[in-house]
Amino acid sequence: MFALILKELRSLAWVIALALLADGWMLSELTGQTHWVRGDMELQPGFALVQTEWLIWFGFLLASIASVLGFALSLDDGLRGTWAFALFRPVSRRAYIGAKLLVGGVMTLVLALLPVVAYSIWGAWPGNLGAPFHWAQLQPAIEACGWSVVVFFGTFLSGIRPAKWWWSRLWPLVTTVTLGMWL
Amino acid sequence: MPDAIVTDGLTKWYGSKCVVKQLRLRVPEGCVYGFLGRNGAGKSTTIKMLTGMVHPDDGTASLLGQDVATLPPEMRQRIAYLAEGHPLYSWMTIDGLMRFNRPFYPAWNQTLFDQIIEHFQLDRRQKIKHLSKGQVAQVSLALGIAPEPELLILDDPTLGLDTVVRRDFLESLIQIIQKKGRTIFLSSHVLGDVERVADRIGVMVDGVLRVDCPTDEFKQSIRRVVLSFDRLPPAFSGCDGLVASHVEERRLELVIVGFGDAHQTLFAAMTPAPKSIEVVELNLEDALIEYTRGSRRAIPVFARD
Repeated sequence: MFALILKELRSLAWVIALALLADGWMLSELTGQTHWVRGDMELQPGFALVQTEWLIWFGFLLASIASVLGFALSLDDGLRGTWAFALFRPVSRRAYIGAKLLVGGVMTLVLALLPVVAYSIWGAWPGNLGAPFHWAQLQPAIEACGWSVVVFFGTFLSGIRPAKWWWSRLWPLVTTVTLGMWL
Repeated sequence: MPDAIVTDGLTKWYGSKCVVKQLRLRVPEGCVYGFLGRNGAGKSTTIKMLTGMVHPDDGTASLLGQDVATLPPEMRQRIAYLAEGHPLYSWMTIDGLMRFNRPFYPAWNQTLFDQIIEHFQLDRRQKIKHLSKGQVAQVSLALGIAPEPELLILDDPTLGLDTVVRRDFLESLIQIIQKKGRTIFLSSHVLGDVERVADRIGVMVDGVLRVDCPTDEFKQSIRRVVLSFDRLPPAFSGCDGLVASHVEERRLELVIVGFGDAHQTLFAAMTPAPKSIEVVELNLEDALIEYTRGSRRAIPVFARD
């Protein structure tokens, strides 16, 4: 199982690198170092991740990372034609798919939580925010992180599920994204 | 001797086309079995069903006595499968692939793996995507052999390789076969390759196993018979085992399965009588081409045992 986890992690190196860059950029936006997202948006004082505009941007970032991870893990073997090699290793199919889900789920959560944790530490530091910081303010962002894991599973299912039509194949992804936005 | 591969009524449909029909196959342990047929004959689908990559619509298959449908991981430690085109993780190095594979196989023979890699003069730090097709096939062979499998299933392993690399690959395979009495199930479209290594062959024609016998028996059972006449040959109505016939000026050429005395008698009694009867032995390639392209190609050839 360890060999499978290591293999999936290594195959995701490029996605993780891109996601870390996106996380860094989001953090720099939240802390006001860059202003690409903010633009002319009126910045309210206080913790940004309780404000709807920022949560939409954050949710978009998380959904993007989760989707790329989901598709990368589910489509990789099919696109490279390595299913035959992978599935004939002496390991059960359940373990092989389980390793992909475990790595993808954990990586989605870690990559989602990284900017939240970093921004919270920055926000808790005296003098950085124009309003008091309470840990309870993290609730919407944490919920978004949890939702991103559901999006990952939806995307993975979309990638791995055989279906004749793309639309029917994409319904797990569409459902999870819609559900998250509605909630 | 027990059978390493057994199939019973194995059938697969793709849409309305039956690509493998009621396949009944037995490959004894220690046998090198050449699985032949033209493109689309059903070879790869059969192998995919044997390895559990494709589910059959009907019938059963077992490897080393275990039903393929419930083949546990421990059994796959004893079986190596080299899929067509040698699909390996292109982003891994040779060493990386070895490190990925090794933990799955308790019987992994590192010395053997190192010997094969050194024999082929491969750079272990090279990524698979930077290797030639031949080198990828060599890595695939090393990965397949290092776990010391009892059964090797090779799906057209020399496809796309040039003559020199193909020869090198097969010579390595022969050495490996000679070392241990393991079973090898090899599909190929390069008949010369199969002739060199296989002691038994099976030929698929349109999804049906039409030949299953020792290689020499197949070669001996098919003959090209050339009947020469003083004038145009008479119309030939056919005979037992006739696979193909054609007239060329004053010669009537026949390809016959199971040529024997009865055929000699029949030809001698023709009117007009042939001036000469020449019986030509065929190599495997010629025999198979004649057998599979003839309009009456449904004549089966099975082992006498």
